[in-house]
This record gives sequence, C-alpha cells and structure tokens, in this order.
Amino acid sequence: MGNISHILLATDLTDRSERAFERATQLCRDARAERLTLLHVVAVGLPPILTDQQLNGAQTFLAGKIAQLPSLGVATPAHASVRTGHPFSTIIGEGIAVKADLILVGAPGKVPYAQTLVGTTAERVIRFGECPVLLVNQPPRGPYARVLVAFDGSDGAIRSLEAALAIAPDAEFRFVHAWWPPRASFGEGENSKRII
Amino acid sequence: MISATVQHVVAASQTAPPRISIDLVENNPYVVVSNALRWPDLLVMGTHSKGRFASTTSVGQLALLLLNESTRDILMSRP
Repeated sequence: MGNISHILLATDLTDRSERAFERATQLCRDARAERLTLLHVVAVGLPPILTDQQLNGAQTFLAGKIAQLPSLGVATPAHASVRTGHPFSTIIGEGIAVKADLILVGAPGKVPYAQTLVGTTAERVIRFGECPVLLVNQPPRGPYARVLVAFDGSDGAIRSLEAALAIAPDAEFRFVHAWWPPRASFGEGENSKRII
Repeated sequence: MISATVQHVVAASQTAPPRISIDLVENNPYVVVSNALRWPDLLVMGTHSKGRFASTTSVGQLALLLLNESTRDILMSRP
C-alpha cells in the first residue's frame, strides 16, 4: 500500500464516524494496510462514574466493530484504544504513538464561518498532526475512482498527494493549479486595462 | 514547474495512477476548485498553514472554505 501501512481511525461513535469506519475497512481490504487502530476519546471533566461508563461502553463498542472486520473481508490486525483527554491532542498523540501513516475522521458538521474560528477537532488534527488526515464525508461506494488534486507544489500538497497515490492507486487523477491574476486586470475589461 | 513536480512525485510513488491530467488556470483558486468539485470522489490538497503558532485560527483560508463546503471526502496534510 505504498507508504501507508498503519491507519488510525478516530471515532466519536456517531453516524459520521460510521462512514469513516466503512472507508477504513475498504482501505484495509483493497489496499492491504498492515494495521488498523480504532480510537475513541472520552472528554475530560466528566464525573468519574460517567467517565468510567463511557470508557467501558466505548471499549465494548469498538471491540464489536473489530469483531465485524473478518465478515467484511478485512484481515488486517486491529485493536481498540479508548482514552480520556482533549480530543484533538489525544488523537494527534495517539497517531504519533502508534506511528500512524494516515488518520481517518468523520467529516465535521457544516457550521457557520464564525464558529470555525476556534476550529473543529478535525481541523485542529490537520493543523497540528504529524500525518495526512482523511475526512470522510460520504459513505464509500468502493475504492476512490476520481481524485481531484488542488496542487500548488507546496510541501503539504506533496505529502497529501503521496498519501492519495497510496490509497487510490487505480483512480483517475486530475490536477488543478490555479493562481490569482494580476490585480490590475482582475474584473476589468480590455479597455479598462488599457486605461490603467 | 508544477507539471514537473507532479510528474516527479507520481514517478516516485510505488503505484503510479493510470490516468493523469493537469490543468493550469489563471483564476481565483477557490472558484476553480469549487467548480471542479462535482467530478471527484476525493479532494486532495495541502494546507497553507504558516507555522503552528502563526496560524492559530484556521488551517488556511482556501482549505477552511473547502472543509466547510465540500461534500466530498478530503485528504489534507500540513507542510
């Protein structure tokens, strides 16, 4: 599978994370990832009894998910990890600890721009994480077939491209490199440009 | 230069994709990418974060807009 052998799936146990789980199983099955880690983070600050309930419940839930993997055609060794902490920093720390090559998360809900100033967990994992992050918006319908790469030649774009080549080796790749036109000509007709 | 970089990265990968096309467009990058989003099932991009502490509010303007608006899967990585 190219240079992606260990996938870390960060799940909040919601429906959107279920899509990410389905994508993770597809990547493990079709691209032969060597390890899969399922991670759930229980938020800090809860009463101890609730924390214990959530830890135990999440552990049971994730164990059930791992038990499903063989029936889904996945032979990749998998294990569950349930932690307490701040979600984004715990996800990043787990990614470093297990040497993950790719972190999968369910895409965050769409929120007004003002609410994104602090950033969603997914956004902060991208910003501070050590490896590429795949946000899963749609239920998978097989391997990726059409990949659009917004490419500017930056180090981040190259890292993302390398990961994409590993997870979608049979896809059609379309690269787009766009840049702003010179300010003097933006939105102006030919006559206006001559006046300027 | 962009084409050469793409070719270099693809050639270095262990699994080169069978079909590649490269479009160079002089226009607002957000408009260009948004208009192309009906086609793919995966959007790939880097972030333009200017360092871990300088960019404390977002991962980058274009990346943030697409994160919030795209209904496609998105693969992103910071520099």
